Amino acid sequence: MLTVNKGGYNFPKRGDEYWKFTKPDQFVEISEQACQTQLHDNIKAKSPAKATALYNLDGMDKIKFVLQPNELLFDQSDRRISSTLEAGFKNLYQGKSSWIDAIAGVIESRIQKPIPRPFAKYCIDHSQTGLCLWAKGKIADPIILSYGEGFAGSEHLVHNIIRVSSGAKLTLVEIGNPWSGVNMVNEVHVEPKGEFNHIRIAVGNTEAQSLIHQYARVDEAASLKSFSLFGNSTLTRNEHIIELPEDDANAHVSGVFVGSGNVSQDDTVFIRHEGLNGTSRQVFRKVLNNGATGVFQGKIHVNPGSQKTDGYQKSQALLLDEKSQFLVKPELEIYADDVSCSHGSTCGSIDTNSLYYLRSRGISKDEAISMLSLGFLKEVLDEIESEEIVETLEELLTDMVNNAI
Amino acid sequence: MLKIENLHAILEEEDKPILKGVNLKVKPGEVHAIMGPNGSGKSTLSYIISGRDGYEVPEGSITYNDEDILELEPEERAAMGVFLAFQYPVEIPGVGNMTFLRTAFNALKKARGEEEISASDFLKLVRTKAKELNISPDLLKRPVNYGFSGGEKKRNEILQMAVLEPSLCVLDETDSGLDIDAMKQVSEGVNALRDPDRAIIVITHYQRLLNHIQPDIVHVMVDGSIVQSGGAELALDIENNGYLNILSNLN
Repeated sequence: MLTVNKGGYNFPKRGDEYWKFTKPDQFVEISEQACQTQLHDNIKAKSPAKATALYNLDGMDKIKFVLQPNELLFDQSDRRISSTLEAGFKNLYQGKSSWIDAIAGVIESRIQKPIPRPFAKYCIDHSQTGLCLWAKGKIADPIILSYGEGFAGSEHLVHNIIRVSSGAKLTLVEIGNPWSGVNMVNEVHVEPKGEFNHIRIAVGNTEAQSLIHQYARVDEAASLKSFSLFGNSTLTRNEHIIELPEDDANAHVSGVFVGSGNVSQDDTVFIRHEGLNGTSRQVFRKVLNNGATGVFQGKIHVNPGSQKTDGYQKSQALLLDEKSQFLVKPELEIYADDVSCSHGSTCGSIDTNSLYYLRSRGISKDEAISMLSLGFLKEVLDEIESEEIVETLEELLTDMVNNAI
Repeated sequence: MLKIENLHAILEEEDKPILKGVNLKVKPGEVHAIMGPNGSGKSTLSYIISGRDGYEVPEGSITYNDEDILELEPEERAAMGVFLAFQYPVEIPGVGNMTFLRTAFNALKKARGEEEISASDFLKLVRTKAKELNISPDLLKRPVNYGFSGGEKKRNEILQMAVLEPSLCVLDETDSGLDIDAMKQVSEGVNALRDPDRAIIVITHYQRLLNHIQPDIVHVMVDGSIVQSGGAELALDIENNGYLNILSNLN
């Protein structure tokens, strides 16, 4: 049941190059239904009292938000007016804040050419749920954004808006994928010398079908690092669309997927260098078992004149059975003549020598495969700065790998 | 303890016979050396003992402590006490050496129905063994053999042997790629493991290693079978005269 072109959104069709490996029509229904569900929810909306104001959440080891379809929850006892952090529920901000208006729909529209991304536009136009976050200084504690159980069982649109001011630093950890269907957009503006560290932990719901976009603009000498961990859910398309319009900007995008069975996970990354001396990294690894599908489409685009760009892209998969597949489209599009860009993609099974070595020491075949898979994935965690978060992720990954084998 | 009778083995990939009737008996406490020219099947014998895939055994048997082990998985043989020190220890990026050692140690304990050891007790145990073998604690923190020098890799094999305490140690050309000092260190590690209940098989090209690890019995392997056995003096004879004498006697 396709709903193409409805409401002026020219949703992609099967066979579109940008959707070479994942069928886009699977997401059309989710987006449409999500909109309807959300409007319906709004009619019977509870009082959004918990999210009526802007809150200052300084002074905690972790600053935790829980996002629900109609509200943003957090520990109210910790709320203080702050000069370094502003946060609120998207629906209550709309049309009332100039900083949000400067980002919402703007970051996304700057990068709609040459490839339009109508799902993201649809989400931005219709979503009323989301977190608005503005870091005005260096925030030491990570912000945890947890997707609450209130979303379970229906489809949703979520639009988060994130601003990191000049010289500010923000670590955002998004946790959970409790929905059966979601179309989601993060729009991020990292201003000069700002630092945005982002971690997405999307595990826990095997039924989830997620369409996720992160649009980011990274200004002069600013940095964005985004890592995502995807668990074994039915269908995921995770897009990063990042532009580096000024000099000395830095973007690292990385991710890990552990899939087993009839599941498909697609990472699609587009990084556009427009300034001088930009650095970008794309590092993705997947472990696929029992017929799982992994997709990676990555592009480093270097504009004419963006000299001294240093771009690197690597996608790798470990296939644990003959039915699993890894589909990749690594691309470089370079219009400057003094750059260093590379890409590599590998796909293979467990190394038999390593397996024999571990087994000869008494480790069972399954445990040895788990260890080797985990070892393969763990190298990507080097992309994450916080050691505390890495430790947590290692534990999570161990469970995920053991479950998949 | 170990009884190998008329063992034949074919490398499946190339359908090539490698072992052509090996006979060998090893008793607890003995140190055997297996010498032989390149391509004589020494390493293959070590692989077949430890259970590597890729070989077919059309004839013959291997029994260990009176049990036929040919059908057993490598981990099952390890649980029985079989240990192969690899000629080329495998580099495994992403897997910490300490995690690997502890997993192996506990897997063996579990297979033998013994209680597993806690992480902190294990750390103490490994540190003690590493110190005895003059192994830098740094090696324990790094991924398994990853970026190790030749000497470090071989010492890491001996450390595993010391920690896992197997009853049969097969050392496949442990001397290859080692300088004199490293060979001495590795040999000291092996000698420390000599025990009335433990058998050791040393596979080597050269007599040099046998100056450090004194064998009780020396075997010469040629073209897939053991053609001559004797005492330590046989190794010296080979060192002085090469394999040519033995080969010409055969002809």
